[in-house]
Amino acid sequence: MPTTVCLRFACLAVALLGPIGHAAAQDESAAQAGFGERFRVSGFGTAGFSAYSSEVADYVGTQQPDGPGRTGETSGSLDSNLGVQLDAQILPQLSATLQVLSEYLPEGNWDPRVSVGSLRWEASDQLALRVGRFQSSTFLATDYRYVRFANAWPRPPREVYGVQPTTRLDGADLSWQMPLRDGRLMIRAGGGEVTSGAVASTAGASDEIVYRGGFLRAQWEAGSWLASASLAHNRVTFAPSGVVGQALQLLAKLDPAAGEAAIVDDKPNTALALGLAYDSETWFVQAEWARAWNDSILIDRSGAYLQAGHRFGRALPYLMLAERWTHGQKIRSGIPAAEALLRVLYRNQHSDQRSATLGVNVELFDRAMLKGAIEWVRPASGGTGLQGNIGPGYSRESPKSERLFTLNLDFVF
Amino acid sequence: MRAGFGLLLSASLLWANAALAASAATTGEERVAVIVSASVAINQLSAADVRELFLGRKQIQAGEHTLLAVDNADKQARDIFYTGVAGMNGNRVRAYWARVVFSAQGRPPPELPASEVGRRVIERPGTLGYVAASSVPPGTRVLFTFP
Repeated sequence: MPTTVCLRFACLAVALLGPIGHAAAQDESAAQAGFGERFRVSGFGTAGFSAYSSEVADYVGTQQPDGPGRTGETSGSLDSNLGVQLDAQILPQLSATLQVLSEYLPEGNWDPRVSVGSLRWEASDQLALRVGRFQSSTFLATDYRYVRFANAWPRPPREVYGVQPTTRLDGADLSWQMPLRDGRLMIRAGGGEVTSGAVASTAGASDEIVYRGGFLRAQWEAGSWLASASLAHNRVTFAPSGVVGQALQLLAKLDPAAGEAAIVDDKPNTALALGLAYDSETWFVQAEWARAWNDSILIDRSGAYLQAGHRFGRALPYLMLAERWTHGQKIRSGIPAAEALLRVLYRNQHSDQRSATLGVNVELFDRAMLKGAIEWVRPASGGTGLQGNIGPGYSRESPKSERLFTLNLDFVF
Repeated sequence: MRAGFGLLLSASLLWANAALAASAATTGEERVAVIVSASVAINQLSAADVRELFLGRKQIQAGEHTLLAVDNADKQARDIFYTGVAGMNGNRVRAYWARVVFSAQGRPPPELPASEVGRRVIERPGTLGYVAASSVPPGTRVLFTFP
């Protein structure tokens, strides 16, 4: 299986760093660099606290089974994480990275996992090849979304970063860069397999969705500006358990054609994402838009957000507005019972919502950032928004607006 | 619940005020000098080149040498340098490198104690460093000063 081969290849490379690194010391450049400069241990983390005002639903992270709210008024699991990374410069043009991350997982535990295990070969100062496991690159900050210190928001806006639920990618990518208008244009193309926990409203939270395909991303950086555009095309496979799985089986019996159209077995998926950021000494503005198309029961989704803030010394107060849309029923049936079932399956994926966040980030000291935020969440009528663990008493017809309070300490080391 | 939110909001405003006060009390202005070994001939190097080099976005050749950057571990020198060359304070630079490093796309310049930067620049021609302008070591040449 390609995934396993890639990951084993990367892990093996990391395990062999010592002897290879020793051999590399004979190279002039590598010999000049000390041990501490060829091998580097670093890390990142967040100690998070959050409180949600709802008693009938949880505020959940994109692939988390529960969160603050109905499960418990407060929670530390929404944003808390810890990552440790080992980098090694094996040869002047060849480096290896192993990153292990502990966060609250779809399975409801904190088991550490390999989030990056890759080899990077810089063929020239313009061309680099990466092989192994790394983070998928759909959105502006997907690669480093876990590193909350490196981002201005407390967590990736779910309205956008859940449009295409991607996490780690096992495969390879090729990046090519060139100077462009006082900046740098980078084109990345790659492919492989992305595994992701299912969206909680789609099925059981621990069910896995597998995407196999490729992506193309262009990113331009110049001074305070950063712009990116990415296109991903995949084949999706997803075998939901529980009620959703039973519903799909029933649909196939009621209307085999609709059942075949609905089943998520090697079905096409396309995602397009655009992002723009301006980060200067005074102003910070970042915006993204994304859309995903599916040829299966998985509903088409769009999302966008705009975040704007002004720096006052070490403080960055900001306002962020975000919205998620779903795009309705694509598969229909002439058989009333099957059509009714399809409507239920689509309705349960209705995740439209709006949110507004007022926050402030404060640089506490070197390598540490304190973030406080209040987010107002307003699910659209007819659905549950992006909330999870919906309980009895929740009104889909007229859902209440809720508030999330966040206080996080982000750090790198 | 509402009281809890109020308490947490008050606490967050308090630490925001404290941080703003701390930023206003930043120590007095000093200058830093970007230095290279006196034995290295560099004909053309702009401040933008220095920024791109230290942010790992560009490789620059100077004669037979590929220029390499080293960071100064002294926080004040680092803040003055990166504010001058890239308009970014120390933590914004760390955030920039966190994005690059933790997505496995590169490594920051090695960080050396202030006392080691001059020695490294002299011992390894082609290395660019920055030190307090008042303590430029002999055997080096100043390319730029900030602010």
